[in-house]
Amino acid sequence: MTIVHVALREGFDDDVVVVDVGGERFRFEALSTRLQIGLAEELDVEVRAGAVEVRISLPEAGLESTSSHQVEGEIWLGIDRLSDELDLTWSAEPFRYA
Amino acid sequence: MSEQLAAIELGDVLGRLRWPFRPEVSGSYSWSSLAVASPGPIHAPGAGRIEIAPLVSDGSADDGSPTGASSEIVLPATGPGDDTQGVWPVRLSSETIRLDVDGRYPQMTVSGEIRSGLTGRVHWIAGLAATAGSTWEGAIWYRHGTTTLMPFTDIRVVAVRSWFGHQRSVTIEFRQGTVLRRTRRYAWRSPHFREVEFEFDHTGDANPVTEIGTCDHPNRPARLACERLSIDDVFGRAGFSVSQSTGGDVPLSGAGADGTWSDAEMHDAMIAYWSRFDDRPQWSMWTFWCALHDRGSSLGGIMFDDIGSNHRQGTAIFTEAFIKNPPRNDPDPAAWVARMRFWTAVHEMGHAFNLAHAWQKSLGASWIPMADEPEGRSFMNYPFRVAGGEAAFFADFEHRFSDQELLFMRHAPEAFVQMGNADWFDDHGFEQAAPQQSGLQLELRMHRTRRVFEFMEPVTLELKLLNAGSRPVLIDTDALSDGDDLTVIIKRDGRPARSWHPYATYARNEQVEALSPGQARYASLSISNGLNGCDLAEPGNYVVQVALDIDGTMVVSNPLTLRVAVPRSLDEEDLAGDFFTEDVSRAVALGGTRVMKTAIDVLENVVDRTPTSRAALHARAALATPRLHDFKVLRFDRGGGADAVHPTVAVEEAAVAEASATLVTALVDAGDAAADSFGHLGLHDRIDRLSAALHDHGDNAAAAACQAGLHDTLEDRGVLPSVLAAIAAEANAYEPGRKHAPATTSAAMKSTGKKARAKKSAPTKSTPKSKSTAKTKKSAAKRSATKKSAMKKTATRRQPRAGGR
Repeated sequence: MTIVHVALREGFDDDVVVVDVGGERFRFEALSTRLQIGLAEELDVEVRAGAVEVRISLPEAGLESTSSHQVEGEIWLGIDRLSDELDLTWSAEPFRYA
Repeated sequence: MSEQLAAIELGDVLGRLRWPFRPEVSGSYSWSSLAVASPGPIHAPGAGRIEIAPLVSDGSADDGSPTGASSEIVLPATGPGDDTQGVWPVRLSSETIRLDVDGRYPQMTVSGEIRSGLTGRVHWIAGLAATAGSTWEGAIWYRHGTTTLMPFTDIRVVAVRSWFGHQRSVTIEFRQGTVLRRTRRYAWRSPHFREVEFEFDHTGDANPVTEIGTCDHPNRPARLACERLSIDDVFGRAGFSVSQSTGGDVPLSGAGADGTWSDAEMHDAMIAYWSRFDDRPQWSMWTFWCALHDRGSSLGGIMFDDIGSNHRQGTAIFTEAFIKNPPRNDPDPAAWVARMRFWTAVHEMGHAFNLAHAWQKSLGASWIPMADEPEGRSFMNYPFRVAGGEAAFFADFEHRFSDQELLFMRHAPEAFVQMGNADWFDDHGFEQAAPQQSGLQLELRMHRTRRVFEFMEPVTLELKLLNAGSRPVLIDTDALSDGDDLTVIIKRDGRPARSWHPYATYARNEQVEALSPGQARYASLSISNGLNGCDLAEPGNYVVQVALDIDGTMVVSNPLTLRVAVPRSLDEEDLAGDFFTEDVSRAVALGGTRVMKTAIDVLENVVDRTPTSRAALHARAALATPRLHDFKVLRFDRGGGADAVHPTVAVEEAAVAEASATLVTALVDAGDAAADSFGHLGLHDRIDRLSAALHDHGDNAAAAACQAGLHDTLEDRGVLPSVLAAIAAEANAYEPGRKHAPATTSAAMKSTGKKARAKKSAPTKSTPKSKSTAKTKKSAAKRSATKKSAMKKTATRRQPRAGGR
């Protein structure tokens, strides 16, 4: 088992956000980015090593995005809401905020 | 000159020695004029006027001042129990400017504030270009506040240079176009633009870094001067005179058992350990150095103070977070760590000045349109976020803020920048902004049980300014109504906030009144339309909030939520495109029109096709109100040659009978719906004008009946007895001897009123929804039918509805 650290980062403003990671579903109501650190919410999900699919949707905004990644060890996923799309970034290192 | 003063001047001279060797002129300057009440008699109790004369004026060579030294204060009638002690009849006119043309990072800008009397205050900014060695010219591009105090468009700045402060001055010529309107000379105050105070507190496990050597790390710009650079230096170069209050240790116990800090724990520590803590805006900030936040090592620092009131007073740096971990193979890990801790501290403190991240500049309601700077080499960008990462960032980083950040910190209105003032990140989101030091409370409200407005219904709200304090407060008599001192913010869900800009503001002679404890002033506020367009046109949820500038202090209302409903019919959808236009918006907002034919057609169409809608009430009012009186129209007639145009003022005669019939339908018969939609004040004002017109027309009985109808509507809605008594008195004034006891009059009025309504409603109900091609005739026919029945009704009194809310 390993951990996917999911960071919901820039661009969220009072949004309903649903995140599916490795068969688990997380739902956030009224999610907003805290602008002074560029971060809205973080969650850590334990998954089996191998291909992991992440699906994020903002049902009220009609946005949805899916990404698959081959996970071998601890990994970080940053999700940003751009104006009309969702941007997913995988990283082998933690994200940093200030 | 004392030794101390001499030392200060010498220090200033040395500080200004930069090539070319001539004294710099950037800094702040001031002018002021103080006037107090003459020692003559003050007529109190009772209304009175106090002549005041100039007492002090520094600066000189003034002319054409908009803030005349002689003025007057009007005291309200006072009665037993009124307390006007402590209200000083003093008028202070003062101006400050910040000239920014040389020294560190000049922005070629001059900005200033004018304070006039007790309530007038305007903030202005002009861009400058040099026209000679000590002369600059430019246009005024920003005004905020009482903009009538700054009617000028262009300025010319002439500076007198000197090595010695007391010999320095700046003269500004204010122009409107090319015409010189005003000249003012300002005395030198400081080489800085603003003052700020920092306090650095820390825990025992933290490693604060408040100073670095700029060349300690080899990855740096080749042109960077090698020097010791402190946090104070950075903000000093941004234009601030920096001082420090004494800091100290904060015990680790404040972080709880886990030893890491939450935002709430840091906020508590700030209250307990910051020597300057106060719940009010002040140019003072607490910087807290500790090891780690609850979020762990991924968070290097945070401006944590965005909860509760008075945001942006506290920042924290987590010295043991990722900022202590240099990249592998870094040539000087210790210098890297010191620089990152230093960068983080200045970055977080920048947030306390309300600076956004470099890539977030365009978000939210910024004070001026701003561009993102994702590759900017500023303290407000993340080094690890630019192309090429930290190495690329620091190779080109000069330890400074960007130009637009400097422009904001130096020249934006004080409330936007000052700690504890405007909310974090939102220059216009006044929620929980400035504290209500004066005791004044501003309430934004509506008189309807459901906060839902029909589609196309103009949104009218009411303001109540209450003195909830224990002492009288001086306010501008027209503060709530002239539009200049009010800032109204409208925010739709999921959209940036927008500032409402009314079609008209009023430049009135300033008159000041004392608002006694418990007294209130009220005003109606119609915010659907303005220079921004139709901000409340779309269905959805909105938040509206108002800030009132009382002598430079913002009194902020409650945020009021409301909803605009979706169209109820295809007719409404169909009409919307024509209704939400500039002409119709102006006609509705400004009380009607007799010349904008397109708008008149649209409003008639609204009445025809959606006769029972709230929008139709406003349409009827806009169509009929201008016809209550003779109406002057400017016409341009051609004659005497192809190019000759002769403007003439023609008078279109009043049509009182027809107009009042329409208005009775919209205002009196509509009863509850009218009170909901126009608001109590708006309805009262409109019916007063209708009654006055009927009186002028010789129909006092109708005038009195309108007042009676208003009385009954408002009585059912629980309006204050004093207001109802005044309306009853008004009705009696129109029709002396008129009885107002509902028990004796209502029965007599009941049948007549019902008949009148029945007659009037028949043609309306039977009129089919018309298409635009047929509307003119139908409208005319309906107006005619309405006129007969409505005028019959105005001669009687409407039946009061049974029961109340």
